[in-house]
Amino acid sequence: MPEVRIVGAAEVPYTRHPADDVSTESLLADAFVRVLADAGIERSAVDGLGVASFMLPPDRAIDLAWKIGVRARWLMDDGNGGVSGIQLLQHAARAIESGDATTIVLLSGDHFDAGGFRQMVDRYNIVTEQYLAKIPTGGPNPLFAMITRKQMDERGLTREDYGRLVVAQRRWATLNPGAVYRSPLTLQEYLDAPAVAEPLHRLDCVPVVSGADALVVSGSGDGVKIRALRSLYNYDGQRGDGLRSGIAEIADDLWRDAGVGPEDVDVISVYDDYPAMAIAQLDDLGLVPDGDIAGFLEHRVEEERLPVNTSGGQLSAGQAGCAGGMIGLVEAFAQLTGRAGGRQVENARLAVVTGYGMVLYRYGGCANAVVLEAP
Amino acid sequence: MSLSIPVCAACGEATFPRLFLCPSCAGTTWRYEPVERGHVEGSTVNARDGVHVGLVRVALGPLVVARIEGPAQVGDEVALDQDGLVPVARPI
Repeated sequence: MPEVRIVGAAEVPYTRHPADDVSTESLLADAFVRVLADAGIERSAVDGLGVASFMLPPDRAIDLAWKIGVRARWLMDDGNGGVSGIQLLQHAARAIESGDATTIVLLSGDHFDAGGFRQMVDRYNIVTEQYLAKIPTGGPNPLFAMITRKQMDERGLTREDYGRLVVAQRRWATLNPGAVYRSPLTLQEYLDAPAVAEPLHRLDCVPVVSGADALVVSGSGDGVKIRALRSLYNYDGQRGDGLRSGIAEIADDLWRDAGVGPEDVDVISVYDDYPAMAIAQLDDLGLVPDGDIAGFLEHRVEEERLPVNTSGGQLSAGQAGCAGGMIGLVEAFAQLTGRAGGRQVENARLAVVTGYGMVLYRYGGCANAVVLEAP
Repeated sequence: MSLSIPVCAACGEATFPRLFLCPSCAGTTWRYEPVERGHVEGSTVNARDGVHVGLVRVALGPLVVARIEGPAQVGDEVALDQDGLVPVARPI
């Protein structure tokens, strides 16, 4: 059975103000060209294509395959937002192991115009369209505001605690030329940002950007290894309170498959649509063994500079739609191959990356996680 | 004035919103029960438009996302209604 490796990664720089001729498909095509160059392979070597995008329809992966000239033996569409990157990676790895394809390019990205983002938010799924958009919730902010408030009450957290994570991610973003927000941020500036829906303020919400990410997965060559990968979808039928993600239920299997524990990883990328959910995933992964989240944020994240979301994460680098499901993988690849520039974590050998999302009604119904190992 | 809640005809499990198969027993037949009261378990206000959004626990069990007509605190009892499919809660 071929040994699967991630042999290339690329990102089309995120921007809040793309040029007039930028489209979702042009960003995905740009990501394709960049990732071929990064992996050092010719287009003709690519025999599989996976695409994650909210805004690509009515086009699908096959339309893009035609426009970028890929003749594929394996093809996959995945619009599952925050879990799409790891989901594509899971299926691509299995396809290579089973011999369906040898070299697969995974692309994810989105471009929103003003009306496009509102439409995506209001028509996120049928339940949103029927039950939430007409409240109107105006998107997921009030839902996650209420989850954040409940997390504050149950775990004894304050806005300052969330601010420690946001400020720490911004500190990493200052070292990432690709992040849209890279000026240093103080805790006071975080606290003073205007309210969006209490207790969420502006810097708890991701900036919407245009951009794309890409990976090359191959059965030959040297690259980043997949130690373990687990997924769980519709883990609780939306019958819980949303404070525990599905990560909590796959974590034991993930660490056992990987043969390491949460304390062994050098780089951590958790899906950060909101600080509360990033914190929930850190807890679900087992990184807060004593349950003291406030202490973890103050000592491990702030003082010891635990490498969490070292690209700046979506909170500072931006959320380019479905690319938010791949940004953590691309950053982990950069760190594990020693190419993370000024934010390089020394001797980074192991990384854990999570995906979370697809709000079904009150909170995200999807979760996955992967442990990656340096070449 | 009430909110219509789907209840599985086979096992009595209440859900919101409506699903196709009952999460508990896989039943496919639903009846609808009116619920007039609930308790607020969460609330916030969208700063942009001033809309109050809340989580309301209805007596049959489900936690629904509602438009709250006026400020409400966790623990408050509210009267339930619906605007089309959308749950609406009024502080009592």
